[in-house]
Amino acid sequence: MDTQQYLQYAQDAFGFTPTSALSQSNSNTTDFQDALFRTGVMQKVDFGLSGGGENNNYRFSAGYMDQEGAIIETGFQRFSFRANSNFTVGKFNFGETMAVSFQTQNPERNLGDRSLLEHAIKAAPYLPIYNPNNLQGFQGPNNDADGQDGENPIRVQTLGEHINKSSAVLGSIFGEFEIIDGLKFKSQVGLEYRNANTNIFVPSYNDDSEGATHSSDFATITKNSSLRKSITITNSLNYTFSLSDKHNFDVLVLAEKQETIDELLNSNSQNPITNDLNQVSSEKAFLQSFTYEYNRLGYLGRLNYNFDQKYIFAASIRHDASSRFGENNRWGTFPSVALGWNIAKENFLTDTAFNTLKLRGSWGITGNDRINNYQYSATLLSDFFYPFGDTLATGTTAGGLANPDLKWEETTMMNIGLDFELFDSKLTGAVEYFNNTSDDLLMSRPLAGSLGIHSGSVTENVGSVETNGVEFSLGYNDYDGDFTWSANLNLGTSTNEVKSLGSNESLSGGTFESQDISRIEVGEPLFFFFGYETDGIYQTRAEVDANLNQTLVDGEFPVNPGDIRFVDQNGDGQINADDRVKIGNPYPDFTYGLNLNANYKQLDLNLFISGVSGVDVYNTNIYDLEGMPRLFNAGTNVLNRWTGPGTSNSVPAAGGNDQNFNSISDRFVEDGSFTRLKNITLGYTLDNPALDDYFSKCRIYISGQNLITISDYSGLDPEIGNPLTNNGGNSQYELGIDRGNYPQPKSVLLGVQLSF
Amino acid sequence: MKRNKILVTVIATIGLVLSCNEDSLELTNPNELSPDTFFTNSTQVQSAVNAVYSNLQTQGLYSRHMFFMMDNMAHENGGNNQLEADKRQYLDFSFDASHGAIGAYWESCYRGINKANFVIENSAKIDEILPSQMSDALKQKAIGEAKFLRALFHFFIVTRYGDAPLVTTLPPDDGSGPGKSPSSEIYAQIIKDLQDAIPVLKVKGEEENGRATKGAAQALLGKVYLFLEQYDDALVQFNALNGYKLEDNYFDNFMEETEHGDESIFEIEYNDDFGTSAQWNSDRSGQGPNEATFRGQEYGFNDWFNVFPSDDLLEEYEIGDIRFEQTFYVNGDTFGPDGSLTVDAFPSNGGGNAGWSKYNNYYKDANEDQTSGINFKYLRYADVLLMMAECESMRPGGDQDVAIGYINEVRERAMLAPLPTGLSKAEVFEALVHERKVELAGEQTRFNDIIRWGIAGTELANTQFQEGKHELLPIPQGEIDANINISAADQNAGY
Repeated sequence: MDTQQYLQYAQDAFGFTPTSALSQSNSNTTDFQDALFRTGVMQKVDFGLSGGGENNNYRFSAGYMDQEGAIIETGFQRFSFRANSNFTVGKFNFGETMAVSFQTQNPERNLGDRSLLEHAIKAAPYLPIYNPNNLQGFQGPNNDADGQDGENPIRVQTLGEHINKSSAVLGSIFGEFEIIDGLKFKSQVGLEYRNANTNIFVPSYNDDSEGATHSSDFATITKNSSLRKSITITNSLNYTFSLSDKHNFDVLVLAEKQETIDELLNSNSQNPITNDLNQVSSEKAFLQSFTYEYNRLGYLGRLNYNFDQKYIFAASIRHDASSRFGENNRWGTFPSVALGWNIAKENFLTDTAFNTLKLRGSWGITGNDRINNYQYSATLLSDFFYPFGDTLATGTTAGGLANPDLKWEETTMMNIGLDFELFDSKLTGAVEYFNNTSDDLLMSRPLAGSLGIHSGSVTENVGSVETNGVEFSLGYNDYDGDFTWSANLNLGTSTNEVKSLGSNESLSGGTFESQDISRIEVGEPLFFFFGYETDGIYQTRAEVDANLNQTLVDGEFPVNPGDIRFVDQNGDGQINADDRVKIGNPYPDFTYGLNLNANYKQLDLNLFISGVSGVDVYNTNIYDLEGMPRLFNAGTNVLNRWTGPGTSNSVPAAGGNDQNFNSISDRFVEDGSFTRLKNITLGYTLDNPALDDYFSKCRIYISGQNLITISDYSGLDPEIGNPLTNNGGNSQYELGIDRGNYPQPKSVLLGVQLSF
Repeated sequence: MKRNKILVTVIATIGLVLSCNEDSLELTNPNELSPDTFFTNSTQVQSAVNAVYSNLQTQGLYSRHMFFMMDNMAHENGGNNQLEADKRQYLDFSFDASHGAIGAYWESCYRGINKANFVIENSAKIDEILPSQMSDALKQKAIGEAKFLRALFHFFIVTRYGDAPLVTTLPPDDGSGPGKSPSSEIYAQIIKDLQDAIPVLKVKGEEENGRATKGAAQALLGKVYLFLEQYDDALVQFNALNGYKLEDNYFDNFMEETEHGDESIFEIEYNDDFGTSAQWNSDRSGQGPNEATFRGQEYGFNDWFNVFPSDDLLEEYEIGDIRFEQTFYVNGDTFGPDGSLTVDAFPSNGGGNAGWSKYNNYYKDANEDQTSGINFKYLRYADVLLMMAECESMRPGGDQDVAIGYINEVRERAMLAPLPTGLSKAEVFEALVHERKVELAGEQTRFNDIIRWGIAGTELANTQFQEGKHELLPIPQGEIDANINISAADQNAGY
């Protein structure tokens, strides 16, 4: 809202007008969101070189990218180098890959558990962004009526610095020896080395010399670093041979060992004396270090057989161990079988339109150990503190329940499909049905609070979930003549259902203000949204009385006309936890994609459209935009709030019953269906003989990402990006929940592609 | 040649198998200690005891919600416009089982209890430590501190939730939750724990400031007996207190510089010099440095000013009661460094006519900067004197004039005329209700008082307080969901 709207809203809804000596005139509005967002510029240069001869080949490449973010002082810079090569000397074959990259990132900064967007929404529009009279020159809210939550987002994002730097080296080297024809021994060593540093510096500041609602009388310095070293050693024997020219065998045995170690060091301190030093010191310092190890061991045996490329049989068995499980259940065994019939090779289909017609099916089990390290062992924590006299004492207590019986989560995957190519492979397509059942799901189960266990939950193998669906793809390409084109369409639909949860009735997913947004229950999809159903707004006292049994206390009812009409599912006249039901499903009914390519002489065009339909998103931003819990700036929709019978059936009265905004309800659930033009590229290849002396190819192109999105979703982006909060390392818990996540930016790229 | 090839194949196969050594799968967490090797020296034992104290500093308890919950429900506070919904619900009695901070209060207490049990249940291991490493007296004191705190946390639970889990053992391996116990059994365990603690704790002056002392256990046991209306038992404990007296200056109880004075019996410790980086995320665990409370920032009229002292409380003070000006600020008062600033903040946007001075840093600072290091006086001698007066007045054959004498000790410091002798039991009760309301204003005691006296219905007549319901909080929904031994049928009446 602008200043005029905001002050009127404050007066009408909350009964007073927040003012300040610094107030701008009614016509003067600070648009904090406008000040925060910008159009960024991106540069990208890639360089590649490749070559080789009979006994060797190589490729080198280098890249540079510099991308400004859509929010001020955000950005990303990357240098990368790659080298691959391969040499053959007699029966020996050697090769290596090496990739090195350096990255620098200036991220979006969040503060006080609130996203930058929330600060920008809540900031009072009558105040200026800057005030030279304040330490560091920013102006924060200075009226205690609306001045608490919304800090000046420009100060949050721009004062001091926040830099994440990382470097990575990924490399592998292998040697292969052909012992006899078709029998090869291969040994490979892979290395991963990653180093990341976070540097945060926030100098002392005071956003209001009069009231100091937001101030800090010391500089805060944070320096965190992490180091990952991982080594993978793989030895394998592979024997490929044929019998009678028709029986083709490929046999592989492999052993693999992986060791990963992560070392973290976190430090921060304060400096009350100066803002000139960006270094940690012992002044109110906090230090922490962690080491995590994760080791895997595995054996694989595999047989591939085909008869004349017509009948195909494959079988494999894996035997894997993970250090994340206790001694009893460390090893898992995972078999698989696949069958194929290439019908097009049969006599009755030769010389027909079919180039390929293949029926295939497979069955197999895979294992998953994606849990935190050391969950099977009981540990103690030593970072509890309490001051006694003039010393700070350290406390130690038990961390949580150990689960020595943890074992692999197993997914049994079954699929059957048909691939076809017709008319000289112009028409291609595939249909596949799949059914995956995951058993012994690794999940964290919340423990009764009265047990007082520090971790609050225990990781267990809790239940099973079944997913099945159909995928369909169809393509057509025409490569003849000056005008060539192709189109590929894919469609997918799948459903999942929780089959069992052991002894648990339900498990929590994502939460908001300590309440479940999503949960897991038998018979429902994973992480379905759970809360109250709403049915408009109570318009009259008679409507309230007809639905609720309320006791009048001190002449007031808790629920009044203008409050949201929550559906009383059990009809007991009370709205309480028993009335919560399924209010949404974060999984889409359909996903689809369409890829179009066309070339006409030197012109080329590519379009990629993707979308989902029938998906729900829980949009917590609505809480800030039109929740009206207390006075803050908000979305203009609050101007359409209920003010009397018939005025609104969607936005409640301001300052009404707490349940209006406090409850998880379908008020915050939106249809997240969208169709998006993910990419469009138009290119032109120069065909100038004068250039041929220098370049083998010279192409200029313009491409755009995410330029067009068709969606009814009211948030920033229906394609919800990475979750802001990391729920115990389990980001799937945040599925379908939009907490003001950084939107996927629209971008336009102008490029030149040169080959020598 | 053929033989060589076979040899190479054999070597390669052996290499394939040998490369995998299973020892690498057996890892121990290098970041955390193992319980199996703990409790082997006095530092470790003391560290386990310290962790129990840290749970007093959670947001669910003294860092954030204890004062809002207790002061708001007692209507010692009124709310300004910006008071957040979950805290306004304490004023309106509109909270339900899904209230986040009511869940945080519950878990903060039970995590404290579990940490205490971690010490108490390992007493056999502690006993095995050589006496040269740790004396018997120190071993017993460590168990005594844990029992004092287990009693205190159970007391926080039983007064707010009534019948509730009574937890005196470590969690079972299967993680199943405990069922509810009758409040009488919880009280019996509290009494037993305190009786065990009293003989083994050190006396004030010989103990580090902040730790549970013999006097603290005696005073808490007296208070527990008073809540059970066992007045004679309570008086035994109060009379055994030794070495405590009223501060000459009432405000010395509420300044950081004068903590642990003569009047102080047990304090909840804060010291913002020791770090505040975990202040926002310690809602129930007490983990990390959270050595400051939000009390000053939340209440302060020159800071967030979410609540103000209610008119009902302001009007309770007699003319000439010096506690008024030491507890509140009104327009025209001075505050800040050397009293350099003048108060001009009322009426507030919620209609408040004064602001809190007690437990605020405005006696020295202009602002709270979110971090206050002022300790909470959980038990102080003025409270004990008034509890002694109550016990004496209420016990069969009690001497009303003796009771009045105790009340007058407190009134004398407030520069008020003594109450006359010869008052009836009913008149003494009325005087006690008044005196506790003004002496202990904003100290999280009044709500418990009016509940145990059975007068909340009349004292809170102009609020949404419902008798038969709001004496207790709802059992948190999360507990009902996660505990197989507690179902919706176990919910407290009216929720």
